Amino acid sequence: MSATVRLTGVGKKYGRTHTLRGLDLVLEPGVTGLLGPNGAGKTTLLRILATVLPPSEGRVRVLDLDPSDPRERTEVRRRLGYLPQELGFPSGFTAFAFVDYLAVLKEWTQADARHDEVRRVLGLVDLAGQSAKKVKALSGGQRRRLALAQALIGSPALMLLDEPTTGLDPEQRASLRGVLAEAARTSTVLLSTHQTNDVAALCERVVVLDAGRVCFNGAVRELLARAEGCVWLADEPHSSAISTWRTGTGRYRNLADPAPPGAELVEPTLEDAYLLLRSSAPALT
Amino acid sequence: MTTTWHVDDAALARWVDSTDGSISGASVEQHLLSCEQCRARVPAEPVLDAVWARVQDVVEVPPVSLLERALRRVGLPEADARIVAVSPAFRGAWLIGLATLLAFVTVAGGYGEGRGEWVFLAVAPLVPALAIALGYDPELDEALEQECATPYSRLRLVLLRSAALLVIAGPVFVATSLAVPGTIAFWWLAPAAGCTALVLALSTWVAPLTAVGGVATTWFVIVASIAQGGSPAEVVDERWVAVYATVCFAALVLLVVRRGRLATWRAT
Amino acid sequence: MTVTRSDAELMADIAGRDLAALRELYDRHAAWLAVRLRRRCNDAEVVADALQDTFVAVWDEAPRFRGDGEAAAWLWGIAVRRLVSRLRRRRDVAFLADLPSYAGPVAPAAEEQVLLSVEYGDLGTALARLSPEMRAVMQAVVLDGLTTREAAKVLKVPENTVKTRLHRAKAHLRTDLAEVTP
Repeated sequence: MSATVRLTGVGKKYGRTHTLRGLDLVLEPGVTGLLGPNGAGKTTLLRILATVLPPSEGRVRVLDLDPSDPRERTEVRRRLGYLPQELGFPSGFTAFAFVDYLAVLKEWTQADARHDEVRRVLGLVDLAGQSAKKVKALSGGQRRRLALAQALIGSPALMLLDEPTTGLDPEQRASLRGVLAEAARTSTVLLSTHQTNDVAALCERVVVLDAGRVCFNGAVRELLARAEGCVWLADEPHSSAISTWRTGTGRYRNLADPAPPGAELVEPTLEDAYLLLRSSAPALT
Repeated sequence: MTTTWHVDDAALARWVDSTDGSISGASVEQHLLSCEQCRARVPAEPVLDAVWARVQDVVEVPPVSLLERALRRVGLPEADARIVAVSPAFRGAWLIGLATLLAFVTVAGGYGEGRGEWVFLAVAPLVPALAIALGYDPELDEALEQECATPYSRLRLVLLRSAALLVIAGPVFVATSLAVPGTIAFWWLAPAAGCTALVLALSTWVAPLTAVGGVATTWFVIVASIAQGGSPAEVVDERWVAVYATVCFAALVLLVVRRGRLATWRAT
Repeated sequence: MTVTRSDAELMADIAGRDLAALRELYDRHAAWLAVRLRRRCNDAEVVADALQDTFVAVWDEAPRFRGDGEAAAWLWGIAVRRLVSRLRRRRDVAFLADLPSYAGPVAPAAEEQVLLSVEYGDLGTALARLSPEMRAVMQAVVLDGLTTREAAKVLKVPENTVKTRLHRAKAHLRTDLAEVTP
């Protein structure tokens, strides 16, 4: 099976500022996590893949198609689900009407089939009972799930999700993981997030962006392994720790590479590994 | 209500099958009104699922608006008809503000003598351009990013929505023209068309509201330079109208050529 | 969420456009409403239409539901009117105000006597003694809650006849009940 997404030397410039530069990236079916600090270029990358923005340089192949060709770009969009970071809702729409409107734009011309599909995706995000409510009557978490629902229309081959879990409570987050894991059996999902535990729970692969460049691209467990032996519990905070805090038991959890000899090591989390990677980022090329 | 007595199974079954009489049936019915437990014992028929599906269709699926139905009837595809019909939901509120602005400068144009007419000519032709830019500026329409990621044509989306917004605002423009005396009545629509087309074309490079800013600045300079030594009517004399028409045409050609780049995001 | 909402709470949520609440109300009430409607009209299609109209009307009118009343009675009030209005469009289908099986002189079975006396006391026995025409009017107006005008339409008799029969039926009942409970 060929890669769903293949980027070669992709860059994006706004005036003189590069938000992305020299990006090489291959995405395959399954969920890939996209981590990175604010301003690292995550949103720009997603917009380029979503064919909303053209890249300034480099080659983009999505679903074996070339998005710079108008006809192939339309074909890409037919097989794409996209959740932008911020999504506005036109005033006066109900939840159902909003998803239905986007389904119309996604060429669901047969009304009965379209309505069934709208109900299906609203059901997936647990909003079936709220479908007749006006969008402005929904809570923040419900709106976020509504935004996600439209990205699921037609079970697209490529799903680009920009922070889908913000504003969700733990139960909703768990149920969302179920939906994404299910979708990832047949689709390629790129999940941009600040939640390292979502990545740890869902993704096999993770890409870390920093200042428009890829600073890690590999298996989640590989990133995790880098923090092995770097996290320990002690009675005192470590002076040169990357992160240190007093835990509920009164002891300090320290992260530094490497841990001092004889330290009481504990299992690192993906967040530890991410912070460790970030702290050494300037050294990477 | 606490009822200790309940309809027995046999009587309930006869009621369900209508094999009892209407008198004892009436008793069962009277009892059911106040007894949740007995109501729950009435078996659900398979047809109830189908009826529910119909109920759900009526209450959940938004009714197709009159406008959308009319557009479908004249042969517009469903997606186009829907986009036009829902256009007021995108920036409908802004239109009211713009109409108010237009009314204000119209009053100035009608009663303010020379100076009022200048104000009218400087502002009114920019109003339609601003109206459509509000309809698809990414900053204001955050659903636009979604819309642009669908296979539906971006140019078609922007043009249909712009057309819909202009048609909604149409009566205001006509009223404006009727209220303003002299040659500038109606002829103000010529620079208005030029500005509108230019904003559409420029937004293949920059964000729509930025384009409005650029066009507005240029327009103010033109009006001000004519105002140096002429009368308001000169802004819409034959030579200038020819210029507006040329700009309008050239901008539309440019728009079609560069349609793939329509709707540009600012750097984030 | 496992908390069960009362009918009145469901009604309030329906007023807030909660479709799940409407579904719950439907699951609770559609079955018995369907049976009761079917006892008034033997055309399955008309009954299904009336039931659909009923819940669509509930969706629209939920804000007007007064929380202290019995939801079931309120629902029946809507359902029977929806049925009447559906029947107006279908002249070939009749409103059955009276089921024929006990129209004859056969005395009700013992357990039904109990049923009758519990809900209606001696009224039930008295009702049984009325003529079918009078009973139909009693059923439509007193038990089903139709107005005399609506009853006249569905029974296909002039409104005045309905009023007369109703008047007479009530007189009969009064006499009957006076005999039983002096």
